[in-house]
Amino acid sequence: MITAECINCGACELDCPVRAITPAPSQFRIDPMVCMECDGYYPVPRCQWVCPVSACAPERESYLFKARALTNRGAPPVVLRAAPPAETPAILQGRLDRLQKQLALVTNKETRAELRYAMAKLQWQLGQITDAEFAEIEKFYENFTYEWC
Amino acid sequence: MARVVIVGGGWAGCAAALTARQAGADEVLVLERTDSLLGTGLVGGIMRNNGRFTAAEEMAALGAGELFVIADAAARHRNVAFPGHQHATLYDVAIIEPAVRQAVLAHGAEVWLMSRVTGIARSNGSLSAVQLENGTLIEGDAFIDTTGTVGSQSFCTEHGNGCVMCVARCPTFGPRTSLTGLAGIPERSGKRADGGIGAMSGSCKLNKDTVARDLLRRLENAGVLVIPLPRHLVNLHKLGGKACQQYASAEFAENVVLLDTGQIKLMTSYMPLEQLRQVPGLENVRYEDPYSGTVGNSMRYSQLSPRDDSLRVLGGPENVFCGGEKAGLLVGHTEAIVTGALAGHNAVRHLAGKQPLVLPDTLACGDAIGHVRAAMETEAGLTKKYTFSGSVYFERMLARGLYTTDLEVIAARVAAAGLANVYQQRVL
Repeated sequence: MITAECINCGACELDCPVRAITPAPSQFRIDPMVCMECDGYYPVPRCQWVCPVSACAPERESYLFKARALTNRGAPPVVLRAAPPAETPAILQGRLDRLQKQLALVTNKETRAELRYAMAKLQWQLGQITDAEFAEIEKFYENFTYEWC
Repeated sequence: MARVVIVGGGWAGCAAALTARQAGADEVLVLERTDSLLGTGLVGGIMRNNGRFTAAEEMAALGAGELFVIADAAARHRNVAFPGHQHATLYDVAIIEPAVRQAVLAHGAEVWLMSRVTGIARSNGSLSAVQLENGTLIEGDAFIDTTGTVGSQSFCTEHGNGCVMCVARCPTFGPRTSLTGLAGIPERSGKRADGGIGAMSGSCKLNKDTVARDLLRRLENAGVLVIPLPRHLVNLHKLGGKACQQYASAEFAENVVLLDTGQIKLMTSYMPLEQLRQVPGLENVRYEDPYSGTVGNSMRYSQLSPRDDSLRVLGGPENVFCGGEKAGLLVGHTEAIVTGALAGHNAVRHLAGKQPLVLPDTLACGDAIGHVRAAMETEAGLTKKYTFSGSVYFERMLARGLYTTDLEVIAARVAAAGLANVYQQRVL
C-alpha cells in the first residue's frame, strides 16, 4: 500500500528488489501479489526506507496503523432523537382528566387502585396535593396488596 | 413495526425521512457519514430559480413542501436574478442545517451521525441490514440509497484534479460508500463530452471577510454581483466539464458571478487564486470551499443506481430505493428533495404491499424523473446533466409548457392528477 501522500517521485520503483512497484494514474502502487515485504533482501522494506514522504507502507500492520491515524474511521455513531415533549401542566392535567374518566368506568378493584395511585402522582406533580399528602398515599400503595380487594 | 433505513443524510435523505414518516413508517433512521446533515447542501443555497420554482410548488401541492418552507425561512435573498436565471431564492448555508435537523427529528426520525455504512446483510432476496464501519449492524425493512455521487478522493484524483478538500471531508469521515454498490448492483457513470467520467462541481465558496468592503456591501444588498473578468483571464473551455450545465453559459466564463449565500458563492468550478485576485475587489480573497479551489473542485456522477420511475433500485434486493444524485444525473437541492421524497413514500408503500406511486408526466417532477431515467439509458444522455433550473431539461419544461410560476395552475395540475397532498396520506 502506498498512501495518497505519494508525491510520484519514483524512488521506490527503482529500488524495489522484486519489481512490485508500478506507476498508477496519480501515484505509484505496490502489487501485493508480488511484494515480499523485502523478506530476505533488506532488514526493513526498501520502499519504506527510500520514500522521502513516508508514503510506502508495504506491511499490512503498518498500513492499518496509517489508515487509522489518517482518518476518524470506525468511531461510534452519534445518535440524535427528538426529546419527548416537555410535561407542561396542561399535558399533565389532560392526563389526569383522562384517568378520572377511566376511573368512572372501571370496576375492577386492582385497576382502580392503580388508577388512583397514578392520579395522586399527577396531582402531586401539579401541586394540587402537598408533598406530605403524597408521601402518605405512596406509603399506603407501597404496602398495598391485592388481597385487600 | 416498519423500519425504513436511509443511507445518506443530504437533502434527498432528509426529504425521504419526512415522507417515510408521513406515510406511516414506525421507525425511520437517517445514517449520515459526517457530523452534519445536508452534505453538499451545506455549501449550496440556490432554490426556486427558473423551473425549480414550479417543482417546489408542485411538491408543496403534493404535500411535501416542508423543506422548501424551511429553505425559504432561511433565505438571505428572494427573487434574485442572475445571468440566465430568474426568481432565485438564496438560503443561508450557515443556518440551514440546524433547521433541517430539527425538522427531521420533530417528525420522529432518528439521525445517526458519523455512521458510515460499509457492509450489508441479505435474506431471501431482500436487504435485511446495513453494517456501520465500527461494526454496528442496523436492521431494516426497506432501505433508501441517498448516498450521493460526490468523491471519493481516489475518484477525484483519477478523473478530476485531485482531492481539493471539499465539504465532503472524505479523509476525516471516510469516503462516500454506495448502498447500491455494496448490494452488488452494477452502476452507471455520467460521462463528459470529451469521454471522461464524472463531472466537476460548478461553484466555489469565498470567505466574506477577505473581499473589499464596498463589494461586500453591494453583494449583500442585491444578493448577486456580476463583475466582468479582465480580458486575459476569460477561459471558455472550462465550462465543458461543469456538473451544473445551467451555469455553463458564456456569461459565466466572461464574468465573475457572485451570489450571497452566507458565504460568497463563486459560480465557477475553480480558478487559480492568483487570477481571482486580479479581479477588482477580490485582491485579498481566499477560498472557503473547496479549500484548494485554486486547482479544482469535487468530482460527481460516478455511481448512478439503475432504477424505475417509482425510484426502486433494479437488479438487486427488492426493498432498496434511491433518491438524490443516485437517482440520475439530476443536479440540485430541489431535484434531490423531489426524488428523495418519492423514494421515502414508495419505500413505505412497498412495506404496505401497495402499488408504488409514479408521478405523471403532467407534472414537472414526474416528467423529470421519467425523462432522466430514459435519457440515462443512452450514451448521449449520460453526457448531459438535468435540472429544473436550466440547460436541456428546462428547455424541455418550456417546450412541454410545464414551466409556470402561477400557484393556482400548479395546484390545479396536481389536483387533476388526483395527487393533492398525497405525501401526507398514511399508507401503512
